[in-house]
Amino acid sequence: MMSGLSGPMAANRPQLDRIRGVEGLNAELCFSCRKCSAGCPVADDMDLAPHQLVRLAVAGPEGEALRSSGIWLCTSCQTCTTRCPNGVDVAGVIDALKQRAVASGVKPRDGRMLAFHRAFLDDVKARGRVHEMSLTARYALRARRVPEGILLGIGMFQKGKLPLIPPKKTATRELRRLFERGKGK
Amino acid sequence: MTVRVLSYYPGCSLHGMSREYDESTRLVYRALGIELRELANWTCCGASAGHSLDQELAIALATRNLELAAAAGNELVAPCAACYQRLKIGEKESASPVTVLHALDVISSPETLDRLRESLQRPLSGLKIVLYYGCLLVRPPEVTGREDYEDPQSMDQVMAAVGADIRPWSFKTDCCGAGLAVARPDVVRRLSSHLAEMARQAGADCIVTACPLCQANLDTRQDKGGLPVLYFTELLACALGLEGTESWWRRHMVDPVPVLKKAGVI
Ligand code: SF4
Ligand code: SF4
Repeated sequence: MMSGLSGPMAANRPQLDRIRGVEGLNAELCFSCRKCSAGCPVADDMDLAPHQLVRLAVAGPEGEALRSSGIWLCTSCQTCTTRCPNGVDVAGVIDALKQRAVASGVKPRDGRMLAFHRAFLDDVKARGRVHEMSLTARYALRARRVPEGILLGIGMFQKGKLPLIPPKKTATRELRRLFERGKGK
Repeated sequence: MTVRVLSYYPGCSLHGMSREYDESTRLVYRALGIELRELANWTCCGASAGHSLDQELAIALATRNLELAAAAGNELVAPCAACYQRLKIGEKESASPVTVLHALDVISSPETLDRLRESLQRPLSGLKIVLYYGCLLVRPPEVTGREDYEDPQSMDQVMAAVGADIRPWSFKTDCCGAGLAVARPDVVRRLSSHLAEMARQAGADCIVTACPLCQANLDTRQDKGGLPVLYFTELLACALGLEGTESWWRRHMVDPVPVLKKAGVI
């Protein structure tokens, strides 16, 4: 069984110090067969492919993996994790690399997806539920760019797909506590 | 007659961009005697932003909703594959007493399939479809508990029960680009256009999905355009002859009306 996901213990997994040896990720079992990269939908768009990221996570230099734009392109589709013959949770390793890059303040070569994830969590924290229009505005501010899909967004708005008025705020005080609890660990 | 009561977690998309999925899910479930009780204070599951940036927060965001469901005492159903995945992980990590289901799981149970066949008003035999399950509904099997994750069957069973003409294809679980749509639309366009092209080559009139992110990516990022992308619940509502479907079609970027009319579905 692979899975960094089983067992209540894992819920208390701290922000990772080292990816090598983290229970459930099994990164050190990789023998570089590249099956993960072969099935990855975005491997061609990545500067470092999934099997290379696993290798760097295990053997270093880890900084190379943390700066990579590849980790931020991962769609978390779980194909790699599902197919790895050695039970390496490849998508989990990539998540761990992202979390580590953020925790240690490493700037990715391409900051767009990080800006998007941050904007997304900002919206969750502020409202409890994500409002697509606010999310897009937050992303534009965080990424300091006009979102590429803005014309499409206008078309979707005209179709009535994007509500202008945000939903009522939900449980925001409680969520703030959850967000703060996660900080600094 | 109500045969089953479930807690309902619509998720952010179904209250925003994908209201037609929310409405069609509610309508079809009601017609099949399944009562959905929306969790009053549900909050966002955290999606891929959560687990990308902060593992502990990601689990906490899911667990919070599971606690609401535990208090309600019913199984919890989510129509979004991404929410389903996050809640399912939360279920395992927090050893929750609540069972998390995807909207498709409920419909594809043997009893519900029987009810679907009994209530069928308009068989979809004129409609050629391919079924797109996407990633997070099926993978990884350690989370979803599915054995047929490389060639899933539940949507096939459901759409076969209402008589649709299901075309075989090999792209049921290939990724559409998921949450990259805002920041990297170029990548989503490449992946989604390829899927649409493969669907066309398989002879399909439309693609059927069970996730608001998959639907949005495929509906909005086809290079050639023209292939409608529908929710399985929208087609079930047609097959059951339910009222109130008209307002859904105009919310699609690729207009499905010509294809549905031609196939005698509406
Ligand atoms: S599939 Fe598994 S063993 Fe093969 S390269 Fe990828 S992580 Fe390593
Ligand atoms: S989870 Fe990420 S790395 Fe793995 S196959 Fe999918 S996109 Fe590639």
